[in-house]
Amino acid sequence: MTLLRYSLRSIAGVKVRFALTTLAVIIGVALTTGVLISTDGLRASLNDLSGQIYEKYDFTVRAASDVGDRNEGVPLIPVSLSEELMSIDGVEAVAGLAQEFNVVAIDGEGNALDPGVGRQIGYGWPEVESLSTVYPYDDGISRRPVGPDEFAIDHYTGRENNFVIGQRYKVATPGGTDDYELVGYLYFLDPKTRVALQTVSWDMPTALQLLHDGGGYDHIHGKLSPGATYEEVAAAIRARVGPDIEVISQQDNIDESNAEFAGNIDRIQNLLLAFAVIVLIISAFITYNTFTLVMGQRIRELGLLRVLGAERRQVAQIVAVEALIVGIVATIAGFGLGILVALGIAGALSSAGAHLPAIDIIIGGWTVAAAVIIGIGVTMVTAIWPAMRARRVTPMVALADEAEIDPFNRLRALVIGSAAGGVGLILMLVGLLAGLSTSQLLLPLGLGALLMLLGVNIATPGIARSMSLFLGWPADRMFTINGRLARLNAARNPRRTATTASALMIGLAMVSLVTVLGTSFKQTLTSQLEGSVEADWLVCVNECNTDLSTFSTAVGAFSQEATRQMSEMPELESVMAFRFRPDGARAPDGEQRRLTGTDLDSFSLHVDPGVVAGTLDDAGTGDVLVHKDLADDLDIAVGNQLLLEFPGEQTATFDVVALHTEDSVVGPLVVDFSDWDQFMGGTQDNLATAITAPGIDMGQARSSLESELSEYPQVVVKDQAEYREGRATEINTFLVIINVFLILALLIAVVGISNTMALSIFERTRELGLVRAIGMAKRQTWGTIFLESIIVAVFGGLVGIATGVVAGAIAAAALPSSVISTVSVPWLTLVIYLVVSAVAGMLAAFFPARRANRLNVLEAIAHQ
Amino acid sequence: MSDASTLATDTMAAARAVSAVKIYGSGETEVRALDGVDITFEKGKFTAIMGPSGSGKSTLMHCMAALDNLTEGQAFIGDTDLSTLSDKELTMLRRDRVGFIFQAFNLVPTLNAIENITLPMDLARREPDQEWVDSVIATVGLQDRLTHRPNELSGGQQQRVAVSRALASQPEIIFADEPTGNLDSRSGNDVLKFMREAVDDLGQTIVMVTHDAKAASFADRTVFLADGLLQGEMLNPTADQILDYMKILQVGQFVKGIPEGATMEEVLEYMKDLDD
Repeated sequence: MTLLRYSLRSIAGVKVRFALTTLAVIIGVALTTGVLISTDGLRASLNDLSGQIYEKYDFTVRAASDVGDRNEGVPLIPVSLSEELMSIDGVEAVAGLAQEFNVVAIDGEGNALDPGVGRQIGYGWPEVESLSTVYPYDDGISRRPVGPDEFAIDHYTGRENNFVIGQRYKVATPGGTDDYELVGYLYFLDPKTRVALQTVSWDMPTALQLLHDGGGYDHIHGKLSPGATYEEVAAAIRARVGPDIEVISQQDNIDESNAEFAGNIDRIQNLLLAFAVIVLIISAFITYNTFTLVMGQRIRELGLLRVLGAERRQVAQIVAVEALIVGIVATIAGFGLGILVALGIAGALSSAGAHLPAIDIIIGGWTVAAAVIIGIGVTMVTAIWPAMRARRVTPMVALADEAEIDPFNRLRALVIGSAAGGVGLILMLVGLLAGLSTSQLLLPLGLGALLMLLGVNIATPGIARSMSLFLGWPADRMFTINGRLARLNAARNPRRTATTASALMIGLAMVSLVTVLGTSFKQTLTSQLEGSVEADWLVCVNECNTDLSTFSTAVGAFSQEATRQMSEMPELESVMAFRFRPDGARAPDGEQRRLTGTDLDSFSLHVDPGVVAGTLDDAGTGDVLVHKDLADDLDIAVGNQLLLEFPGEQTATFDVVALHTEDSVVGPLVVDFSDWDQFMGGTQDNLATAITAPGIDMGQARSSLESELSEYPQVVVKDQAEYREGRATEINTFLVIINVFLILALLIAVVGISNTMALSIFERTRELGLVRAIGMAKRQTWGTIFLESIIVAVFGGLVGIATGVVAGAIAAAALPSSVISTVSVPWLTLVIYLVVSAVAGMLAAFFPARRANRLNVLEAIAHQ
Repeated sequence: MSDASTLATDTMAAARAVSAVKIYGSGETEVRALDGVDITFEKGKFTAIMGPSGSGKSTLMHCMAALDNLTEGQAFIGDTDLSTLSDKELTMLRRDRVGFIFQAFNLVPTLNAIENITLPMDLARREPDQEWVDSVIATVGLQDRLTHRPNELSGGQQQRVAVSRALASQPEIIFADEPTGNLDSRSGNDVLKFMREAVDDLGQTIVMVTHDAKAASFADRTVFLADGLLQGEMLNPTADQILDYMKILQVGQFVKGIPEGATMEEVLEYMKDLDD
């Protein structure tokens, strides 16, 4: 009990420092629990949504398929199948479903609606009311569309974009762009339900024609007659239809839907957790440094306890108990704050356009466990070393002179720091040189980077003195006595200078590391695109993403009609179309991969695939172009055959005609349009490229293209540079998020520097009084303290940036060239980081400096 | 060793040192802080150790009090040979059998007065003898200051808390290291009076290191240390007698022939002889 009371008292005695230590942990706990709470809530409400969506459907009939997405690009089933199903005993009603993505409404001003991070969908209004989940909005005038000239739009999208019922609007569909009369707003499930979809709906015959070119339904949902069981009916259906059609139950639907939601949520969750982990590492270092600093200041007191009969174990316990208290308080506070963070995340996702159902606050067992592990666990781990040091405190330190108490061993700091950092560096280099696969790389790279950080953190006190003197040199020169005092003060207590600088150092190291990785990634993409894109013009939707993006698997698409119109333009010498399908084909290793369809023998004029073996001359039906990395994985070469599985249980054997290296535009597997049409279907292109005809200047070509494509306002025309920039958008977004974290790290750092500066000024009260007494002006005191703080901050920033750049560059070099092939260090950004550090240092000095100037000179001199 | 074994049976000894040697550093920088000191501190007596700076008086105290260990020789608390004890046993000994008073008070700043006083017993997880603690507090006059933190107390009050802390656990012996060094003369006098009372009324044994003759005059016996060696001792001296002796001691460094352990009278006699 006494130990606990003693610990509580010593915490109460240094409230500010305690609060600060706790704050660092609280932020880490709050972010992690916030992410978990919000994603749990999201998962629960989406699971609710799955239940609601499939509530009306007792069974669903669809094409059997185990490749590709279940909603997008599914193999169609004949419309006539519904009549056949109705003839089966126990089937009360059936309704076909037709839907297609990338169906874009165009508003009254001629602009295509922006989907944000959601999707735009065209939907056939179900013909059986009891099997419909869409309803006309209850505003007195909305009704369901009937006939080829009427459409409806969901009421959120419609009202937000000023779609007026009764007016005519253009809608871009796979069949081309046409105008229709808006006859009503619709809602899905419930007027309040909002999902990340912009929905446009026609009656079923119109939708079938526009979306599927009359080809068929995606699914047929059915209702059982009273008394009929699913098993009996399913068996009867299976007996009637061929093996290429399957029947699934309501529960199967719900499970599939939940699994799909879960996949999306997991992706968001992992991204958010990655950021939480970065913040957590920063907090752990700050906590560790604060504990160590506090240890140093309390060593005499702990020695006194030893004199008075405290055992080694008891002294170590005191430190541990204090860490435990910090951990418990941080866990509880962090958890509370985590709920707010969860609401914030939900709000941010919604405002980003991912309109999600209202999220309940759900606190799962794992969330509580994570909060405890992070809050208490991390704090306790960071206290291990200080507690071990407390164990070694001898009674004599209570009686020794100040200088002898805790002598700073520069050599030891440098040796231990270099050893830890060296092991980290070696680990990273092993990752670089051992030729591991991407997933195997993560451990040596991550652990290596962490060890490097730890090593640098331990070694910084060893270089703090010389670095402070070096960095302070210009201040010394420019600001005479202020600068000189600032420089010497910064160099005076290397351990404290290092601790002060550490928060900034760790934060900037992490941020620089990720920045180097991000820019290298971006540089790799753009330089690959520079090498491969030969066409003058690239026509696509949004930013021309061809692959899985962070938030969705969406690939923008537009009607092939647009491509056809382009190919008739005299201003263009040639036009090429590309179709992409994520998870479009399964290779013999069981992995589903992105499939590209194009004109196999001529697309190289537009996009150079970088053929390294074989040739594409005369390639066509039955041929496949395979990426070299994939060919290596599958152990195939030019001349071999490759068996591919497609959606709808179709398989085909292809001749490998060539191997390529490009993977920023075309995917790992490229087939000819003739095969694409047979196995994949669909009437939309994802990318069209064009080469300007001789004698036509670029400006003229662009304006002709834009006017030709004016019917498709969702489509953008880009030249090579614009295309590259667009493709890099997502990486840029990522880098912006990194900068948000930089700001967070800086905030923590500013508080940290401010606190330590205040402490050192308190210790120097007498000295400050003295210099004031002999004539230093208040303005000069301000200057001295500001300069000292800036020197310390720049020191931390510089060490952090250097560490981050080294770790980032090694990691970038270690990653396979398909991910990062060019290591690019963004010097300008790093210089900006350094300047920001200096500003942070200046801000941090404000309160300590003000306090120093409020000292009464006489009292200060009398200060012990 | 025969000398040591006879002393070991001396029931009047609260603590003693036998051929105590303490060496700091080695080679060029070697310092012999204690160079073979034999001394016994009697039970129930107030002993002062005096000597100039660097004489080894603090080192002697630290080694006697189980805070530091001797390079050679032995130190005893009661019959316990400190050199035979483990770190843990030394801790127990400090906790249960030794009390401390320091020049810098050395109170725990976050604990209030009464918590500081009972801290050693709390560390030992021992219930304080409430009656005894109350009487100690009454003696030093701290009744109305018990819930104050050290920074809310004057230096004299802080040292009285420290004295109470040392007395509260009823140790066999209390070591005081310049207890009045940070106090004005009035507060210092008070503290010394309390220490004197503790010896006279409570039967406490106190060993005090000081360089203040006035403080030493409160002791039953004053021993003088210089250059790591015992130079002599006086019984019940006045402050003036001590000051005289100190002066002579300094001169005596240069004057050979003064017998070791000479009393002041003998020394004065000897000096007179020299003058003649």
